[in-house]
Amino acid sequence: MINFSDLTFIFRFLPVFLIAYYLTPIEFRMFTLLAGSLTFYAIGDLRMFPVLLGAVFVNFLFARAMHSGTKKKMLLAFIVFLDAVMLVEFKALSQFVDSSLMPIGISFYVFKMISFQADVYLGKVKEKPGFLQTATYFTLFPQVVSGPIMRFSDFERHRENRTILEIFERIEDGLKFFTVGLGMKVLLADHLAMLWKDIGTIGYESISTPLAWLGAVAYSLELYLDFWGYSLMAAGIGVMIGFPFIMNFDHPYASRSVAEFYRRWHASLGSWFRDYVYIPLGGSRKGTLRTIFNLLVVWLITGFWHGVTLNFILWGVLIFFIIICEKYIVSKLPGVLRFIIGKINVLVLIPLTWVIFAISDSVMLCDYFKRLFPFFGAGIAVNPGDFAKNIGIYGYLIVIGIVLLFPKVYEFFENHRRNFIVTILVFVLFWACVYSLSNAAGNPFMYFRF
Amino acid sequence: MKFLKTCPMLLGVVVCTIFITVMAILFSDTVYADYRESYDPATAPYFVLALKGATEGVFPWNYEPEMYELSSEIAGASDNWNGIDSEISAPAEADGEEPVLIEEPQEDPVDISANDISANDVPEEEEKVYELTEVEPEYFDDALFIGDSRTVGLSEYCQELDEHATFYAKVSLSIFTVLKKQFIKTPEGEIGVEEALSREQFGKIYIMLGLNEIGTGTDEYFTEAYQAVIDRIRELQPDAIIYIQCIMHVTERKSSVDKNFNNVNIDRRNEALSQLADNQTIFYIDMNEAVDDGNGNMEGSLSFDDVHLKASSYQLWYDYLLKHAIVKD
Repeated sequence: MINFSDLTFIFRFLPVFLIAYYLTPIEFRMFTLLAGSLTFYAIGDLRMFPVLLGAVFVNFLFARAMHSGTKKKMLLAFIVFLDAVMLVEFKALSQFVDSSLMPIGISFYVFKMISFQADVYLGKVKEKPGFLQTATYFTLFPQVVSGPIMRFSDFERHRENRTILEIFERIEDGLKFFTVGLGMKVLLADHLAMLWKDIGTIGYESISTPLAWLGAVAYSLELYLDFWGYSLMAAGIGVMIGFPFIMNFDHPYASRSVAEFYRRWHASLGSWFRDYVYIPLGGSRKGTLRTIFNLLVVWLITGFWHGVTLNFILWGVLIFFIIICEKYIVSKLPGVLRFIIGKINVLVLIPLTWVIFAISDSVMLCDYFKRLFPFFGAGIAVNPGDFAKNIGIYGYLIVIGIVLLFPKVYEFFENHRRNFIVTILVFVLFWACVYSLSNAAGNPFMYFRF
Repeated sequence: MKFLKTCPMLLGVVVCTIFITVMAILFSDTVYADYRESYDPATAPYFVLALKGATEGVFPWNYEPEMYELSSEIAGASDNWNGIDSEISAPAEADGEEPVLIEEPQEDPVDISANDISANDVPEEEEKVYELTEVEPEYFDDALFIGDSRTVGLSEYCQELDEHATFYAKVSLSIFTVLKKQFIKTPEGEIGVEEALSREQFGKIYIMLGLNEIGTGTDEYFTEAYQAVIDRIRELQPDAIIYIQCIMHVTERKSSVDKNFNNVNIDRRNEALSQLADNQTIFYIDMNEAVDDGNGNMEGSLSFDDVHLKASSYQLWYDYLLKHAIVKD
């Protein structure tokens, strides 16, 4: 139920919550929101619920002390240290001891907490933080599982819907964003995931080179549509309860460089690193060497944040290298060449970095790259027909995925979403998703057919 | 009206949800009774019954209740139906049906004598003892492989075998669907196994099925279905050697955590399958020997997803088949 694309969330939790929320008198709605958020988390991960509660209390107390007290710097350093240690510890525990020891969403809510502490320290939080508001901000159910890492300043932009018409208008609008996101996840990403799984089943050493490239494209699209879809669902729910639309993905594949790509991909994480790591370290104001070092720190932490295995660190370092090359070499090239290299970086190098992101076993990762670039010998038991077979099964999903990379497609929906025909299409999309989910519900074999 | 303009989609979703839910509730004992058994209220709203029905083309307006057929047959006092009825209600021991039960022993001796007759056949046609021997790839020139995704993998990643043998294999195929699905490609379109087998005769037929349905039905139900498939194949292919291949194990990683797809279940069904062999024309071969880790599981390094062999591991299966074949003079 902790998953937005779960029927019990869509048809039970969400409607019950919305009714409860809007039946609550305006001045008490924040209570309902906090209660709803805590319930949501407790249902999803009761065992790790105390970790969230503990983190909320401790962070609230520090923020209070910092807001009014002296020794702000020490308090900030201490609480950021505590939060970071907690995050590192749980990541290490889940990696090396038992994966169930990872509290759901900890990577996201800890980052929210750190940003909040920094904002309090910098005086960006004007009013003295109250418990209700702070706890609700930290645990907000549309964001607690996988972000976006909303800033407190955006949380403060929350507007209560007062009239009945206003309420229904907002729910309608949020529902449309939610549905489009649901479609991306359920109808596209979840099915593309099966291609990636099939490639694993064959064994990376035995795939043909065309299939290896198809796999890189399919995995990149899957990751994009899954996360973009999730972010749209989260933003849609936010809109339903009066928050501003939080843009987390802004057509990254239309970027002209990798640096730009990461300003538009998972934007709430990128801007978090910019504001709370890169700029405090001095950003680009302290000379070239220091800038390079700062970027390295940012990308090492980004890699580690995604996972503690070696491939994530390698992924982070590789992005760092590409960005450094862009910043100091490519940017000095003439316009056309810069454009071409930038596009190649985004459309070819990025999918390759996702392959590194996807495969945590270094031997398997090497196998995969040997098939992508077959200069180091042939594969084992390769079936040259594997590409044709898989493009036959998954080709249409890849085409739809690629069409969605063009900003105009989504922008059309965004601009015309109140149009009657668009509304009907989104309505049909909603039931197509529900239909697909219904057939998977209670049927653990749905995705496990041999 | 103002409402409809403000939130048409929300209204549509709410109205549709209510409508489908009401349908699912109204017809839950009739149209959707089959789906209700597997429905878990904790995981999905009630209306999924109706949507699952729709997937299989079951709607309230085209629903044909089986009860009617049954009662009309009973009204016709067909002996067959009485027989089945008495069997079904036997444990309940309904007084009124006892005469039927009493009649059964009279039939039994007939059956037994029938068995005796077949037993009497033995001296006439002496049972040969066949041994599994090593063969050349050409052995598979007139061989057919029937199976699920694992057999699909064998055809795709064992080139030599694929060049010699014919494959009727499909992902998610089970013993219950093998004769029903139309999946064999021909120039005229896709046909079913029965039709394909009546068009072409094979010398050997290898079957590996049973993993997809491991979580469904009882062992007896499964074995009966398997027997029925073999009987039907035998009718269509009177001269073929039929090989029942054991259900291939899963790895220890899978077996230790999955309540359905585990090697305890697989071994139990394999044991039942081995009883179907007569060692004259139907043979059971245990290819798990070729992929075993020493503890009754599939060797972990041979598989990525813990269920299928990796492409590079299919050779082990093929090598096993090459060394374990029946050659009749």
